[in-house]
Amino acid sequence: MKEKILSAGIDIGTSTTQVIFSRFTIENTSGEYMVPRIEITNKEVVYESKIYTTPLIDERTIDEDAVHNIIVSEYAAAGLRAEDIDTGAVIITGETARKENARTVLNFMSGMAGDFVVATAGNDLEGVIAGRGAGTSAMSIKQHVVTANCDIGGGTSNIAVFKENRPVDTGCFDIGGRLIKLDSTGKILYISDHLGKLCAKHNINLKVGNKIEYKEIYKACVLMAQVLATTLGFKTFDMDDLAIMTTDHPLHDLEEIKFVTFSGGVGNLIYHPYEGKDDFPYNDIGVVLARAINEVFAPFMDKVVEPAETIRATVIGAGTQTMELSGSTIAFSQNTKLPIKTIPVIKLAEEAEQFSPSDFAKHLEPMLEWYNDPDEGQELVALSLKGANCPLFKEIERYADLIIAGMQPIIKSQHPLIVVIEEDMGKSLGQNLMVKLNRSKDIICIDSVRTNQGDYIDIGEPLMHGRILPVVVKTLVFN
Amino acid sequence: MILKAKLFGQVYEFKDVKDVLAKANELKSGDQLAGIAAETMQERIAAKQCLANLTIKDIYENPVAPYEEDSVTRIIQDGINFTIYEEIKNWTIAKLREFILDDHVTGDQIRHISAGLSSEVVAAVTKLMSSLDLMIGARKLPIYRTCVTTCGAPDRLSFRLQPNHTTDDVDGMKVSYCEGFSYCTGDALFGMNPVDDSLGAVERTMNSYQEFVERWEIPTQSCCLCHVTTAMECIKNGAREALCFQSIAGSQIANEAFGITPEMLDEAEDLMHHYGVADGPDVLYFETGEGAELSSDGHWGADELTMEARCYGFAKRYHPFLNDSVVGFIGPEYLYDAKQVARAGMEDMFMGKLSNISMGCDACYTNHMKCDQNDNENLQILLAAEGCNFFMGVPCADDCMLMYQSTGYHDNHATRQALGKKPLAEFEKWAQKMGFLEEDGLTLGPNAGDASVLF
Amino acid sequence: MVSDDKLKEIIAQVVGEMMKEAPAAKATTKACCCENVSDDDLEDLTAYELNEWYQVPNAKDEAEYRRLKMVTPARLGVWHCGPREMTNTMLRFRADHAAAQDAVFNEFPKAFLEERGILELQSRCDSKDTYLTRPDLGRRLCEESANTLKGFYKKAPQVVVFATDGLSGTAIEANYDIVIPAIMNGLKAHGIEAGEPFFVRYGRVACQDEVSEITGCDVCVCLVGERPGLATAKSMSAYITYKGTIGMSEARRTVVSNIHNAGTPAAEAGAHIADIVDIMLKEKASGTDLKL
Repeated sequence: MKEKILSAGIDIGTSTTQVIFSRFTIENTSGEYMVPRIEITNKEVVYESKIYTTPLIDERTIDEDAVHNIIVSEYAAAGLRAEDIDTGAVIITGETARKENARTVLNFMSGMAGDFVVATAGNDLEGVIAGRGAGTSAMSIKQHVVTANCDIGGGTSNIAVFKENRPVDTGCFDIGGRLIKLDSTGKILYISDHLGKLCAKHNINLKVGNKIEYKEIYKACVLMAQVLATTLGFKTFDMDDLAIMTTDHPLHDLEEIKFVTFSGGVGNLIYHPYEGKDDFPYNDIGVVLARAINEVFAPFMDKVVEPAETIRATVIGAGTQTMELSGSTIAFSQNTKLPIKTIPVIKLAEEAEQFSPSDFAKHLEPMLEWYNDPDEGQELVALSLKGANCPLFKEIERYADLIIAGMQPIIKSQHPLIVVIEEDMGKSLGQNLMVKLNRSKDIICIDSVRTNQGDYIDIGEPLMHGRILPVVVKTLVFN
Repeated sequence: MILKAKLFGQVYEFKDVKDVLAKANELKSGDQLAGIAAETMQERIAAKQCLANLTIKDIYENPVAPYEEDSVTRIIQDGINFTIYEEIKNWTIAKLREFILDDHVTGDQIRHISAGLSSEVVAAVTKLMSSLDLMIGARKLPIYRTCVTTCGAPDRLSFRLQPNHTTDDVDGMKVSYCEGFSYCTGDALFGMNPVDDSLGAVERTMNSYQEFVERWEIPTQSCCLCHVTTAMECIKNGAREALCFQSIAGSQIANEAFGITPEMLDEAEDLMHHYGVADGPDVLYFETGEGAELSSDGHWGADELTMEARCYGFAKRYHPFLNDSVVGFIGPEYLYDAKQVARAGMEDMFMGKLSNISMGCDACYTNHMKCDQNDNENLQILLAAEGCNFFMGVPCADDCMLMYQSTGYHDNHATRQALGKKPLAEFEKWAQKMGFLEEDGLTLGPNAGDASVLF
Repeated sequence: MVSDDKLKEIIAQVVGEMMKEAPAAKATTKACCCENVSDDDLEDLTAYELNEWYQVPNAKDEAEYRRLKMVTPARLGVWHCGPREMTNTMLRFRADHAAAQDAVFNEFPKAFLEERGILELQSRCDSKDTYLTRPDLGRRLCEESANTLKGFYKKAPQVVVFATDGLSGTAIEANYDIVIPAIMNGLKAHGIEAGEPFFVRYGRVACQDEVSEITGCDVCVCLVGERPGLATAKSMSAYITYKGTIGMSEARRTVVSNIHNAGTPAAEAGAHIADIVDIMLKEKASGTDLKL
């Protein structure tokens, strides 16, 4: 039994816009005589758009119509309609995401790209998606080492650290190729705020309206490269510089990073230096920044690896790496309406799973209260749990008791009871919940998906004869 | 033809030749399950006595499966040399035994008359032989065969490298076969049993194995042990393979249960001669095992041993490079314990050689049989001394995919050392060059046990 | 000849003296023969994952060796003394084999059944030995058991679930308390009635056909211990039939195998089995006739 689904990936970045379509093959890989194990067995990119320059009306505004036209023409070129697409992601990255009209763009995109496409952004998730798309995440499980990918685009550098194919840390910096923009004569049109501050601190003479000087900009780029080397833990340079260039937060120095890969437009230039004579061929500082990174990282060259994808990492990640499958033995009531999008996830510390049902409920209450609107009543939330490995049946029953005690506001509401548990116990737990709730409550109980407090999840329509549910876990949504 | 015998004054009568053959067999649980075994020890010996006085002609003319209904019988009966048969047809089975054991009768003389023996006759004489009889007879009959390399020399002992994996994982198999080669296992052949028998998967395995052999210039023959029809399809698609494998049985019904016909194997042999990577001429590899016919209801009421002899009579038509009897795999309802397995292993070895087949053995046991690793090591030494051409080689004797225990990388070279046998000649040189083997051809080299030398 | 009573007296005396001496001995023996190690500190040869068992000294590429070992359960990277295995490798193999053999050959403990109040039936085999060599006898219930089963249920249950030791009593001991309630719970979630479970000693899978005929159930679930490998002796299978009859084709059985902690956890397997039973009752078919 095989099923094929189509996924769209759309990346609207500070400097470039790209579209890809890929086909996933979903199969039961366990033997005929075993409990099913349903996995994505193949991901094949079936169409890649060319790399467009992101159309802008001015520095702060995406040209909605032009973007719309790009997407429409690429669907047509691929011979696909919106309803052919089963899943995927639209990502508006970097500085662009903060621009005023991003939400409008995302809205028309959702309609364009089928029913189950997530509209998402946020630096942490972007970094993770780029690292997955680059192949850096896969490298961490293949070689059993901690790897990091640094996706350097126009406006930001998003770093994600991976261990055994799981993101363990992220960081984001205002470091990119388009922090300075030039006109055709080499006059500076724009300098980002963060870079302006950095230059001021180091007495680097760069001003809007002035002609750019290579020596000065190279100095600034070396400082930015040093910020990256510092946060990756290769060598500590200037912590104040790091603070100046940080977007949200740097890496948390949790794991020693064995390999770093670079992706994005600037990432590509690190491995394949621009060969022309011009220093500013794109009227920005991308080429110079790549050179500076190569110089600063020269002593750590044994730690720098070229990933499978550089310039297409984000769009490939968006198109192929956002959706995951639930475990193959799960339980959900047949009349639950799917898909359900953007469900907030609540989770207690793992120790709480050992509490008595009443204590568990007491700890969960304030979290549920947070989603209880005085006018609209209890909102839908999903309860996330770690669960137990190879549980005794008594454990299953104990977990069911915890959930029933803790989720009373949901159980009493119109919403389905949604439980997302990490260990493989979803089907037996779900069935036990159904029995304990007298088969009168809609339940979705999925396993083998890891979620955390503050995440949001999308749950799609069932696949493979209703055996499994596709899930998108979003660690940050666009807001 | 007298189907009676007298012992301690008591007369034992037998229904027909098939009944004599069955009751003359050493005790096997499979024959008991089939309801054809001798009821008492004395009846067993009486049957042997009756059998000793039957002639080659009596046995030849009474095959256990009817000629008209069974393709294996036809292949065996039609395949003998009638001139030689005419010379010996009046010999009793007792005389045949004494001829084989006579110090003045050479292996070549035995091989000469063996061309006139049907498989039932081979089985009959085996039933009159004790363990040492089998040993003495078999040792006279070295069988040489050539695929990429040549096996069969009495002073050499070779092994099949069997790097099976629960999911055919490429990396998982690699670490296993690299380590196997480093322990000087893999000179007989380099072949795995696939879990996934689909065309694409098998083709990938075939090509990756052959590529590895070529990359390290290993003098051996590669083989993927899928069904013969799958292998043929892959080779037609251009897959690179030295040996073509199939499990075979001693009756048409049992072969049909394996999904094969004689014509299919003819086609496979022909295909390998034209499209295999080895010049041969011996390009097929078979597996057999006592009890297979009974388990597929294709035994025609005959005993396990006789049916096994018929496998070799059938195999002979294809001149296989190797044939091994998977002696302890089938379970205690067919071969009860280590004792029965050891007897079956020794019989198979002798019968294969008397049928002019290049014999190996998968000396093995499952966990529901009364048998342990000591028993298996004993059997390996016995069979190696009997002149076995090859055994299997799995990591620490534990096949994690087939869930049984066979002979391990660490057992194989130890058996060579115990009996002073070296690896096959070309492989010996290669292993020495790689630092896996010392100059004496018996002591393991400094790189033995380090798979990463071949990563 | 020493009488029994005399013997007991001597033993009591010797033991008594040993007890008296014990404290003094403890102070002095530490250095010589009998070190006092707490049970928790004893190294367990079988506690290691085979994946992590690596002992090749100075390998050309140890990192890659260890990485490749992670993807195979085979016993590799174990090194050697002469042509032979190191002692720890040899003993670990023997330990795993011992566990497998004990799972097959040890009698399923009566106490397990008595503690839980489980009805015990028996196949036509009179011993483990007969079970192993006579598959035909293992496929049928003995006369007495057949009669007991006839009166066991007041009316024909829709579903009958039972366990048999098969080739591994250990597997049934390890999984019974999890898988049975999980199946019963799952059936309840589907609104399906099942009869009280029981146990058949020395049973082969096909004894479920006689069980189906006697009880008149629609669906019969037979849980059976699988032939142990060296990796685990605790793997269990479930064979599920719709309206089974004696002598029916094997193709009519639906199988769920590999139920153990490193395969499918018993609770999830039980829940999955309950779903299959639900589908079978709706589709009125099992085995190859049933598309799952």
